[in-house]
Amino acid sequence: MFQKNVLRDYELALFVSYVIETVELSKTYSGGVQALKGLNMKIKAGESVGFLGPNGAGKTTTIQILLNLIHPTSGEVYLFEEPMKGRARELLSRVGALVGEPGYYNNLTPNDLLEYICQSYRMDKRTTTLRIKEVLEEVRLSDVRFKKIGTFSTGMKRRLGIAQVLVHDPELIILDEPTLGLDPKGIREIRDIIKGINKEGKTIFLTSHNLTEAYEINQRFIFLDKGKLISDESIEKIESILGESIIEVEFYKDVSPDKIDLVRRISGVVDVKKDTNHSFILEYSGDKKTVHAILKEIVNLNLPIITFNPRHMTLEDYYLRLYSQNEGN
Amino acid sequence: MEQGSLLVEWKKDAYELWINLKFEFLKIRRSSKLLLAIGLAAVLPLLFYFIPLLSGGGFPDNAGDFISQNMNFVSLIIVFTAMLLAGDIINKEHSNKTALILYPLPQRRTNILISKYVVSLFSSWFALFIYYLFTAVSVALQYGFSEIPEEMIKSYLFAALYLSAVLSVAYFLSAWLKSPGASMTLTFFGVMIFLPITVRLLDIIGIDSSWIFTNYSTIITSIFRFPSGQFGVATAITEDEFYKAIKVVTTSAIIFFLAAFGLELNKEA
Amino acid sequence: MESDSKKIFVIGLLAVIMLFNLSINSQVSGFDNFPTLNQDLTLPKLEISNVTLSDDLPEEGQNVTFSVIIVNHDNYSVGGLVLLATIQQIVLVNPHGQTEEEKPVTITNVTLPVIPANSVYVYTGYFIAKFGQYTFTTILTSTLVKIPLSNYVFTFEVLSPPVGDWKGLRIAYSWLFLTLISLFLVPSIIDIFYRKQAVRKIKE
Repeated sequence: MFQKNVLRDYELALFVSYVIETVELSKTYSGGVQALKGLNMKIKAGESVGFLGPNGAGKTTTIQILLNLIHPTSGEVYLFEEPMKGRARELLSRVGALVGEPGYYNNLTPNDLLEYICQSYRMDKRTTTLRIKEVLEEVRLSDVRFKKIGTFSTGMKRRLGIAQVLVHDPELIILDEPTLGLDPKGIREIRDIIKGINKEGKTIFLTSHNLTEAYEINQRFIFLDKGKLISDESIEKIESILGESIIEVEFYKDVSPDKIDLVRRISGVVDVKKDTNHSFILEYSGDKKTVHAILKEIVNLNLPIITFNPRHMTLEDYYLRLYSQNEGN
Repeated sequence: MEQGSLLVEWKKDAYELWINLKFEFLKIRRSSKLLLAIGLAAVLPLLFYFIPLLSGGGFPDNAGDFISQNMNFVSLIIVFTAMLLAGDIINKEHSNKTALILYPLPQRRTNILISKYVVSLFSSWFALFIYYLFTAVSVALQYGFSEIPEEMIKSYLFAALYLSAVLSVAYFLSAWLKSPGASMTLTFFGVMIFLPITVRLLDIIGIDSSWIFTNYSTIITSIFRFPSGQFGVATAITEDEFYKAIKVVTTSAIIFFLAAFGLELNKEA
Repeated sequence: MESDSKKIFVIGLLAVIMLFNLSINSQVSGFDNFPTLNQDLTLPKLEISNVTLSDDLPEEGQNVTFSVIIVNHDNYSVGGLVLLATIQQIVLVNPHGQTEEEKPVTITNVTLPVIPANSVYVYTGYFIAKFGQYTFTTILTSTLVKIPLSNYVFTFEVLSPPVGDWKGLRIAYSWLFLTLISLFLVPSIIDIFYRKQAVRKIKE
């Protein structure tokens, strides 16, 4: 671990700069629930990171700690290579965040809200007026700039949330479930905006349940389960894994473990994993010939097969494999 | 202590306080609450003036009696205003999830909380001022300007102090309870009913209840020195009682406010 | 011989006066059973024209002087008059929701000297004011018979002493604002302390 000195911007440019760093970050809520158990992660400037995991994994807790909304039980948090403690106000001025599904002040207009936000980021009046106009155009809310937020739809409110994140031109953008509650059109709109932001060189740290969305937006994926980091992979690594092929096999009745072992021993089969009661995922290595040979063997074993579906692994498959491995461990 | 950086920090804090004061005031202005509080404060004195005038019911012989009788409702105005303007000022941010916008911003939570209290305090004081102003105007119209007693200023200042205590209770309840409805209801009934009942019960069992600030609401009208207080029963006060009232009311205002502050700062958004 | 004549004259005069008193229609209920006479009594034409207080709005503890102005409209002197002045506190409803009857307090019950014909007599008395609202009642009676126009009633109020020290209020408001100011100033001090701690740790 390199020495944590307080560095100036020009010094930072010479080194790899970590925008987010957590060191043995833990959080136990009153009631004994341990939401985070020694989380260690580093996010570089300019990265677009998907922070994924099931409900209760600790994603929102991590984000709340990063934004100084809650305090960790133990461990350290660094933003822009500086400790959060005692510097939260200064560090958060470089961060734009959208946490969960925030509420809005129904009697205020987008202009009122964004003006306040710009003022809290210490922007001057001229820049405030310019930026409000720009971001509202970017999220397509220019027409309703002076209309009360109480009249907005869910999609409009979510776009306003993105505008609120971007208006002060932050270096780091933290998004917690940015497309939650949106229809497919809304999801696409938000996704396109986020991709555009990342292209400008900003660091994106995003949590999502939607793996496809995360796969489209992010270049790196951190998987969390029960407060622990279980995987941290780049998109290239994930893609190579997703390049692997699998066969979905379904039987019309229960198959004994002995028979499954026999399937496992078929040449070309790497592993057999139970999917549901009567269906299994076969991981194999090889080509179409191998697929044909495996099918033939299963038939020869007189197994009650009704579906045999070869395809490439999806991110969901990877996710499920990861979590079932973790459960096993 | 690095004095230079401390001054810089305080300058930043002052700026944050200022923008939050403006923002809180904008929110209160845009909601109907301030209008409602001011409306009630204006309507009551007008009713007490116009109804006797139009019905020919007659006014008391002197301005002092008129004021003492009409000011009986000032406690109601105080509690109603505090309930409206501070009863849900903190928990509403959580229940509406607007705290998720407010708290991640690069500013101290202390400055947000102070600005909330200050804005609701000054707005309440303004509503109370409207009540006193309209009462004074009624006195002037009926008895003449010279009949407006100078005790009105003292009474207003004590009433405003009492209001700050009630407001602190409302602020505390809004930090403590999750439901905005519950905190507003408890503010109203707590100050108007539960605390006075507690005082009475403590008196019955012989325990000193003089530390409960609701004991001193009658001082607001007793300052006028006229015997026609509530229900026509005279309650004279001494200088010592007045000092005690000030101490208890001020201490209550500070304690409840600090408790609310502590609760909210330790809360996880 | 001369002293006997005087005695007879006085007794005769008193008898005449008594007869006059008996002819007055009593306004006091207690006198309903008084024996009626065959002829109407002529009562003296006396009137309490005014009762004034030395201070219209006295304060608690203040020594208040009252003056009862009695006018004798008759052509003859009147003696043997008794002036009764009472103060009764006005209590409408007490905190328990009950109407209370406060007993009138007698502040003067004196026999007045003879009031000459066609003259004004001023009786002066005093009382110590207590906080509240009161009814002041004066009645003139002559051998237990109330004289018409002598029932003078008015209400007055006694203020409490002025309270409310400006200094106390100033101190109270100062404390309130001091608390707010401290809460404003302290967090920065704490932050700088943490920063110094962090720098110290790095140096270590």
